[in-house]
Amino acid sequence: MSTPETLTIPSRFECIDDARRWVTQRLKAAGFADDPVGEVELALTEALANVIEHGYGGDGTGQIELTISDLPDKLTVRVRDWGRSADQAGFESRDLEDPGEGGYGVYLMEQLMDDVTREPQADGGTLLTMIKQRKEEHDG
Amino acid sequence: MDHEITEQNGVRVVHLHGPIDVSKAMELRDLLGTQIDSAAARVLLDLSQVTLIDSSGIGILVTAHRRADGQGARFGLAGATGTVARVFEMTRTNKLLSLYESVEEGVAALSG
Repeated sequence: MSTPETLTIPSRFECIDDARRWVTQRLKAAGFADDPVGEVELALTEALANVIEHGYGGDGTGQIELTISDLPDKLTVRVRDWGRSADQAGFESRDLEDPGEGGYGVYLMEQLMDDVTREPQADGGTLLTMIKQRKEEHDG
Repeated sequence: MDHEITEQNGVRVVHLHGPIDVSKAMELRDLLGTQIDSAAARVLLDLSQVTLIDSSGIGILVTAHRRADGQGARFGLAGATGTVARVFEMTRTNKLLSLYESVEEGVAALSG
């Protein structure tokens, strides 16, 4: 994976599995061990679910573009959508003292990845960037 | 949702396979609703073949646990490993849910 690779999927929950498989194949080929692969898989799942639910409001006709790039020191996963930019309040972590049905998604993304940023885009939608540092034990 | 159900010492063991994400959430909710159907229900979810669980799955397990508690039934989870096990710790739901290392341990606890 020397150059960035891109996959576009429809904004449908049932397409998350395809995106996950696509990323997993590339991470394994790039030499990532099972633990970091599992962490990126889950962070990506949460990111896509958020985009579909909040960005597109469940509308399955939108598009989501994934880009993955792997440098010697870090992996970068970008998730670009053209849906509504969720307000910051919708992007806050939940209160862990009160376990409930939802709201763990953002918190998990932040825990699983080393850096998570989201930027509204001039032509609409949002670019979410998630970075995972490569560590010695991650190189499997 | 890919699963099978076995009965061990009066405990219904639901063996799940593959990833549990938002696309499977409603199915999981219905499955648990069907199995935790009375105060006498003893239900153990075998997660040993589950490769991923996301926040929607965690939320459904929390709800199922509370429902089971409220009606006097018993509900547990067994065999989580890797990232699946870590998610329970990260969300601190490991303090609420009944988690067991193995199906054998879970069956022993729930049937007692």
